[in-house]
Amino acid sequence: MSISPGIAPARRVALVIGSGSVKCAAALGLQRVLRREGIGVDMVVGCSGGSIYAAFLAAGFDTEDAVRLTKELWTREITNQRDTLSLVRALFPRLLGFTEDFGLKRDTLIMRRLRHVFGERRVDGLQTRLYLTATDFHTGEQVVLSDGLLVDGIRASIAIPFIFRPWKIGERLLIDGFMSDPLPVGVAIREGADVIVAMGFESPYQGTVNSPARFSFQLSSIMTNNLLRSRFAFHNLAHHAEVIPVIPQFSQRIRLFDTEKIPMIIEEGERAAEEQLPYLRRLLAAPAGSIA
Amino acid sequence: MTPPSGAAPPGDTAVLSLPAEIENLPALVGFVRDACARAGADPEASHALRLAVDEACTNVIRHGYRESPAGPIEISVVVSPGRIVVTIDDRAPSFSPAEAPAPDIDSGWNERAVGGLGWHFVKNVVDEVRHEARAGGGNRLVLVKNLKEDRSWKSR
Amino acid sequence: MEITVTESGPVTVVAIRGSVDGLTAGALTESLGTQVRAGRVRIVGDFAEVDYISSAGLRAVLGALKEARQQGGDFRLAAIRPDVQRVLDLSGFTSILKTFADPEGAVGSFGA
Repeated sequence: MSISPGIAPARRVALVIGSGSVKCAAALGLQRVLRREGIGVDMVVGCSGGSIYAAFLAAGFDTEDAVRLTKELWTREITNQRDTLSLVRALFPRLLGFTEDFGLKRDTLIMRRLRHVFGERRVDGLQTRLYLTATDFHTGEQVVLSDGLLVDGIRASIAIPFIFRPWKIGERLLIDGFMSDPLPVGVAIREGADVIVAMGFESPYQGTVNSPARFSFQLSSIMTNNLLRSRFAFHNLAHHAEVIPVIPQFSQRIRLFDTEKIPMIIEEGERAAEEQLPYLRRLLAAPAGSIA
Repeated sequence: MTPPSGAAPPGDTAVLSLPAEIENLPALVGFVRDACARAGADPEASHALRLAVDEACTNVIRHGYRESPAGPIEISVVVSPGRIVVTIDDRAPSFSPAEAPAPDIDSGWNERAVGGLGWHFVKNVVDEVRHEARAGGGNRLVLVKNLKEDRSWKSR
Repeated sequence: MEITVTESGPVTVVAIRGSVDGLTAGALTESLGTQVRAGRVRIVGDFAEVDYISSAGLRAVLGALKEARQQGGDFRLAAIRPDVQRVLDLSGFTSILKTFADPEGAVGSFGA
């Protein structure tokens, strides 16, 4: 398919950072590589834990700041405060009135920290275009947050069921984005990206299942991973150009709050990005219409 | 074409048999649409059956008889209070809707992209789907759609 | 199925009437392909009169979508009826393309 030289459409590059809690810091390693290569990014999409790093990237925070802020933001303490009223309502639903507004932990601390880190910044007021994803609790649909306060968007995206209560934005009650799609490549496709660099993480499978909680986590991981794969396969086939997966491999177990492992995580993110660099360069250099 | 074996089903039954060729698709789908209209089915149920039958018959036509000359597709529609049951019979080699469709290596990415979509629709727009291998060869696909009880949609 | 093509500045509006299925999808692919080859890559599909779409129809939509995007354009849908919307939702297509309540909105979305 020929096209006049000189008006080839510019390649729009998108970064998609899927759910993976603290492993999402690997995105900082990816960004290091892109910066070094002079590859500009036109949009960032973040889901769940990825929403925090997507926000860092879109806001232009440098890597050192992002690392420091992660350690301040993401510690075990944020899930320490039990939401007693919620717990009691769960035990006596009819008596005390159980509602969908349910979460076992209080979100006061995480909200305070998010505000401290991001202030009054808006999703649509950053250096780079940002999209955060959450899930509509009533319909199960993916909800894309492209404006409003950054803090609200992140809080909705990380509203882990059972832990933090669903977050209301406008008329919609929102929960964690991973429930509709753990790696929202579709958003980048819809918003007109050509080259999509997607960093996704599979949910860990449990070693020994010796408690109902682990049993439940195992089932959740199974469903999340199957959802991740089927959505990724669909998006690959539906996209007019390439989706480049950057998948960090971790030889050791990384648990929810293992922030001391962040330097190692970032390095692994760099390594995984380097692996795809030759292909990425080729795609960015390719003439229009030829990267189907 | 011998009628489906077993006791005569209750209620209103209609049967149509045609060769499994793409030209016959409108007649096969139209047959079910007419039956739904006669039964006074609500628009959502009619649309669901139209789509499910379209997709199921298309699969028999495209993949069912493969290299052999097109055998028959037989559709029967049984209307009973509160539900419509559509049965689609063929004499093609056995397959299961639960498995991935036979890879069509000559088709482009476009075909592959939506290859399993037809079955996805069939399974999701009707209330029950049952598949059986038929004695003597062939497949039977049974689609059940429950009808809305209240007729409030009619006043629109 | 009938297709009517009108131009709205740099945007082409393709209004479709009837059913987009195994027998008519080819005509849609042909029509949209003609637009893209002529360099008209910003296309709005006016679905107000589309009463039905099957997986074959979706295949045609996906093909047009990808071709338009490869050339720097897009294919956006407008005025989708509830039955058709349900099929788009079920297939996951709503997650990869933009839809609007009316053609004017879709045309306007292509911006400056």
